[in-house]
Amino acid sequence: MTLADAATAVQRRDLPLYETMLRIRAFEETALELQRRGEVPGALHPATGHEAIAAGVCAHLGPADHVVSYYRCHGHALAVGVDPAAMFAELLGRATGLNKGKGGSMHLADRSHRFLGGNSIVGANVGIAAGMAAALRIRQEPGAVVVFFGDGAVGAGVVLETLRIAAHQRLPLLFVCENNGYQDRTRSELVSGIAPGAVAAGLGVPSTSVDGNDARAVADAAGALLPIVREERTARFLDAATYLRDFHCQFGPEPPGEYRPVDEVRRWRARDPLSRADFDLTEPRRRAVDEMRLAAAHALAQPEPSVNTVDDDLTAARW
Amino acid sequence: MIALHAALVQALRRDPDLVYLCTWQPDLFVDEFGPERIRSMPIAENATLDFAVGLAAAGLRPVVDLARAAFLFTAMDPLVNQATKLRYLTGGQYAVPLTVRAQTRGGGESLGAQHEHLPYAMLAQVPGLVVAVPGSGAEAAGLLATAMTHPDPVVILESPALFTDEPHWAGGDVAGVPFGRVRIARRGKDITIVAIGLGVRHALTAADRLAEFGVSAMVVDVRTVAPLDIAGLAESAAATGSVLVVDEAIGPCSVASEIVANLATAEVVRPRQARRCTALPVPSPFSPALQRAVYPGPESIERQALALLGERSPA
Ligand SMILES: Cc1ncc(C[n+]2csc(CCOP(=O)(O)OP(=O)(O)O)c2C)c(N)n1
Repeated sequence: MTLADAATAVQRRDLPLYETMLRIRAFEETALELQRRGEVPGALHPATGHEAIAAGVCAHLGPADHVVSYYRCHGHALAVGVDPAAMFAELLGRATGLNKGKGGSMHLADRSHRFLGGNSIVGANVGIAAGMAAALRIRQEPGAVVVFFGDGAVGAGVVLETLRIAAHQRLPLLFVCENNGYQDRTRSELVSGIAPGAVAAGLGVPSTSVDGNDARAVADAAGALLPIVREERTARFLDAATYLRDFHCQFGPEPPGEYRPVDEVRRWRARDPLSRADFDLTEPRRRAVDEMRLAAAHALAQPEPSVNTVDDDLTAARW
Repeated sequence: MIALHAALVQALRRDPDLVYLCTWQPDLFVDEFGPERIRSMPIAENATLDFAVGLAAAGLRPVVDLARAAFLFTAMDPLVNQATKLRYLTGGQYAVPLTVRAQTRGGGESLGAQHEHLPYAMLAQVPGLVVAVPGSGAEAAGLLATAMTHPDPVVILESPALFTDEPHWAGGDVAGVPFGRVRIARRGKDITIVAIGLGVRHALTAADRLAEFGVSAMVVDVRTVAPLDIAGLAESAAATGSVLVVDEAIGPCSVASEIVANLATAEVVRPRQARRCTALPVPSPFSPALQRAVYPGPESIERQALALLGERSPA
């Protein structure tokens, strides 16, 4: 193989990762645009900057795996194959939204993709994912559960409790910590002197650290961990270092303030997960932007939910 | 084996998706169903309830034995924000058929203020949550049997006193008790005593004593405080024209208040003929003497019933 052939082979292998990341970036930027126009009720937690983690981990999902996410869930939803038009419709609170307009940005869920989806209580999703992993064991089904969360979640009691349970019960669970160094306005170092991966290891779940802005590195790490989780029925932790481009939470038409040091932001921007490709992304980028614009336009044309549906899906009991 | 255990064993045999989570595994169950389905959990109620939500979301049917209702407070997020919201938030894609069993108080245990709780009025405020408060051991078994086939979360708050003189299970199927339907525990025509949980037993004792005075008291077991059987309560109240609501929880913002408000609004009794017999608004005291002063018992029920009847204006 010539050097040029080898380079092409690498590109061909990595292109799908970049396509996923570009779709996430285009989705988020379209969503932010909709929000600045006042179309989106409530808060948005964009995953810009975190794309490599969603793309790298989800590239290794098998048909029997489940994914549980947190409020920063758009990227994970796209990476597992959820329809962006239905996602936009949910963000806009429309009748045809993924959750019929009942969930909104933080709670996207799509059962047909085994995507339990977002959760707006920090840490709760991690405990729920453990139960889903236990269900795989109890039913002797193959597969694994992947749960995404931020480094702030590692301070929650339920996460510490769940790490211990997952280790002891040998749950097929991959913990993926999107370690962006901040929990809302608070720098994580200020409230915890110990890295998420070290916490996990201390409680019995072995951890791997990875550059979370390097999609190939994340994909390689997930590709090594997931078979262990599935086949050996044992929990693993992936501590992925990353950084948010659009800071934490966007509420209302005004962009939120930036609390982080200017040079820190500059340093991380230079390491943007999308700037690392050593091949031309012009065409895939254009495709992604067109796809998301079209999906958003479709969602904008959807009707609001009927008020008659306000108590639908509260219970399935017949009384 | 008591009826409650029979209900569990029957359900575990019938439904392979049933999983029992507890901090103390009954050997009886482990021997038959194995440690994957009878699952020992650490003392981590918060994680345990989220774990159960995950089991349910994946299609299983968890029953969590939380031991004490007091430990529910550490696990309010999974119950209130997760279990009862998932169906709604996902537009019906995921369901949480979860049963939580927890003990309230009243077994003469004197466990003190942090362990003895009657949190059903609080839980009744959570949309979509069934809150069952059995009035006898047999009722606890019947409500549990129904809970284990219910599509959504159910909390069953049991007084440990209900099981102290529980007879041995005689065999046969444990029949499910419908949610949202009161039970007439004793027929009577002079006054309706509506009671919740252990209050039912006290009300029956009081009714025996009232009979000695020639007063015929009807005793109604509320069974589920959410959903509340307003029609059934109104019917039994209308039958006598006087209602005394016995609730071991404290009075302000209680289920007893809710019942009285409904009966008064429905005009089935005159407002002065609907009263509450509730606990004093203090934490559960350790001293049995103080407990007697705090919680309604047969004597206070009897006294208040007679006072209520004494005030009844001639028709
Ligand atoms: C139990 C709980 N406490 C507080 C909050 C408010 N809150 C929402 S996001 C957030 C920061 C969490 O940071 P992290 O887990 O690191 O995730 P990131 O947002 O950085 O991706 C906080 C404190 C919450 N949603 N849930």
